[in-house]
Amino acid sequence: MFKIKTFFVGLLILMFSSGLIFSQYPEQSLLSNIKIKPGIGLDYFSRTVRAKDEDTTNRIKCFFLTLNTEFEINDGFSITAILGYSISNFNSMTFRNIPVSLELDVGSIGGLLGGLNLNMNILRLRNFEMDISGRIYYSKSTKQTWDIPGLSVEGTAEGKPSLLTVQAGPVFTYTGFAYFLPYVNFSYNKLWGKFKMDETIQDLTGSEEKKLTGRSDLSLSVGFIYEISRNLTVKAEGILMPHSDFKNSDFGSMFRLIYVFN
Amino acid sequence: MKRKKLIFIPVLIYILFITVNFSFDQKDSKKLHRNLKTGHKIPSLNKNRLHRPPRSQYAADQVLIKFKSRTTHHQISSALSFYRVKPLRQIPEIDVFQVQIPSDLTVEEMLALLKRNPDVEYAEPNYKTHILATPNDTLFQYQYALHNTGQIIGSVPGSPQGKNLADINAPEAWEESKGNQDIIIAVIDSGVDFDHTDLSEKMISRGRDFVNDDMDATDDYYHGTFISGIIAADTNNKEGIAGVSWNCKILPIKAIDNDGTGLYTWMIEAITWAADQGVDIINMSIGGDAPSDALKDALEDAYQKGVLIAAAAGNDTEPVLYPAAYDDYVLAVAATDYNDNRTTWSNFGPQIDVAAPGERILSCVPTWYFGQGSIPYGYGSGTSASVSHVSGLAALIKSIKPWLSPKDIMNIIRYTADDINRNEHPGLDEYVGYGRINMEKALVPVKIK
Repeated sequence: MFKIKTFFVGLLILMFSSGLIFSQYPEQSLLSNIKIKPGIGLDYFSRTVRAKDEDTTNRIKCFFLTLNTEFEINDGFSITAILGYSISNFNSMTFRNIPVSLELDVGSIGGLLGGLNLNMNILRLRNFEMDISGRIYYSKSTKQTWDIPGLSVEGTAEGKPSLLTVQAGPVFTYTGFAYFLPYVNFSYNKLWGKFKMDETIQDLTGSEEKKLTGRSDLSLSVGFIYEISRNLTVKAEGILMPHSDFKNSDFGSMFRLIYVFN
Repeated sequence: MKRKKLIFIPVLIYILFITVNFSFDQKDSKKLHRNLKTGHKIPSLNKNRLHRPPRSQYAADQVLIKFKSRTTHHQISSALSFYRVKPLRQIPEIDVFQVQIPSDLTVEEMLALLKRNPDVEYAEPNYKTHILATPNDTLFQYQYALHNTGQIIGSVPGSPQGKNLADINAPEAWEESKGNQDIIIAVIDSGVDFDHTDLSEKMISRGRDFVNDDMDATDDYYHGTFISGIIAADTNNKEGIAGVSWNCKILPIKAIDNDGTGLYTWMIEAITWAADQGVDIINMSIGGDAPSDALKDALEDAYQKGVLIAAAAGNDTEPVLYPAAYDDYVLAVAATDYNDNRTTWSNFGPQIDVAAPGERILSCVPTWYFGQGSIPYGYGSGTSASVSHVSGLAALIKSIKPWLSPKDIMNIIRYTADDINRNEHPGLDEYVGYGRINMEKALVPVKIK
């Protein structure tokens, strides 16, 4: 598992840095037929998660601040390497399988983030395009330590969350406008997470690991790509992950500012 | 083995003295009875609405709004009209408006709109409050140990008044656990009155009588009935008192005879027999002055079999009695009062782990105890009552965390206690140990920030 993670992170760093370097010298680059588009992004989602073997659900909220490098390998196929910082909020998540039960009310937990995005055009029809898009994010927080209040002795809790999201599905884009490309994306949108909590109160110790999954596995995104100038593009979308009780559906949003080297 | 026998023989001659010196307030009992009989009905506290409704509930058509202080009346009226909300009430002391929102908007949508208004200091849902798991037992209001609101403890003139919050936070903890009926607490005492309406359904069997060597632990003293009531009286049955562990069951074991004394052998056999029956907790509101290797061996045997043992420290302002003094295997419990002070008579020593209310505790007494015309409840004081609260708590912890060892449960009870005498004796001390037990902290998830 460690090797896979190391390989994944190494690959991302390599892609990201090489993209930035080559993008400075587009004519001399070995990758001169590859269009490189660095950018920055902001993702937000609020999702209902359920821990394995538990009936209760929690809502987690995450912000991802990302640096992206898109490699447009040929017309209609691109890979984007994503590195960034994640801010996750697991408040109200409760750990009852440790000696003294704990409820998180710690606010945001920071961590590192890596991801990949793939986009492949499969159909062009007059003013419509259909792409297949896939995205994977993995975020891992540094170990957090909190004091357990109200005890007659000192006690601490250590938490370490991680999240993995995978999204894949068709994207339908209307290309009839010159600089404005609205699109709709139906996706399989899966979230897995882990939250390990270690408790130490003198000689009383316990550990609990929650394996989390998102309640909804499907999402509908509506967004647009807007070319502000020849070099600058904005991409924004809203994401809905519906539940059977629609009022409590999950949602998210994504924003990208992309620079294109010509 | 030979050495054990040598120690065992003199031990047999020790006569045990029950650690409590109960003084039942018969007047109080009769007054309570009169109240019940003459139409002074003790009201039901919760009209059967015992369970908290789902959390985070709020009125679906209302929000609360507070405008910034600089906002004029005219601006407020305009804003309320603009948002199409109908003022229902104003709370003038804090300048908060309770308003009804238009039917085409949800509370969330309305709040989102209001929060964008620079004149609005805050806007929030009109949340619903809830009642805690307050039992409907008619005498619950006198059980300050479980829930102390500063009430008068008793119904006769001159009854003492408790201090608000000087309790073990039972209703808050019952939100998390009311106990599991598979958890068995062995009460090694004088037996139990099987005819008592608050106890008859709580016994798993007729128990064991080591005094008369039979299988019927009928109480011919009173003490075991009193202790059993504190631990697990039938709760929320609209009569009598509430037990600490609503749903847990009791195995009565008689090791005290009808004059309140017993032999160590009875106690030792009771411990080993209880452990062999697979009980989870042993409550020992009894004790003696003398150490005994045989007693220690029995305690160790039970402890190794996964049984948590809690015992009373004693009531003589002296060193801790045995078995409570066997620190490795037993949770030793001292007594506090309705003001969260240690009682003057509670025994002390380095073996004290925690304290719990033990002064003027209301519980069951045998139906024959006060005679006809009285209700079978009375007040008593002693570390016997204190340890019964602790055993009840241990049973609740075991109910929701059955994998925990006796040592773990003992530590949870210790480390979640409130250090009530921290001004004079900060930290662990010889008087209340780690402090007065706090059921809420031991059971309800602690918020970490």
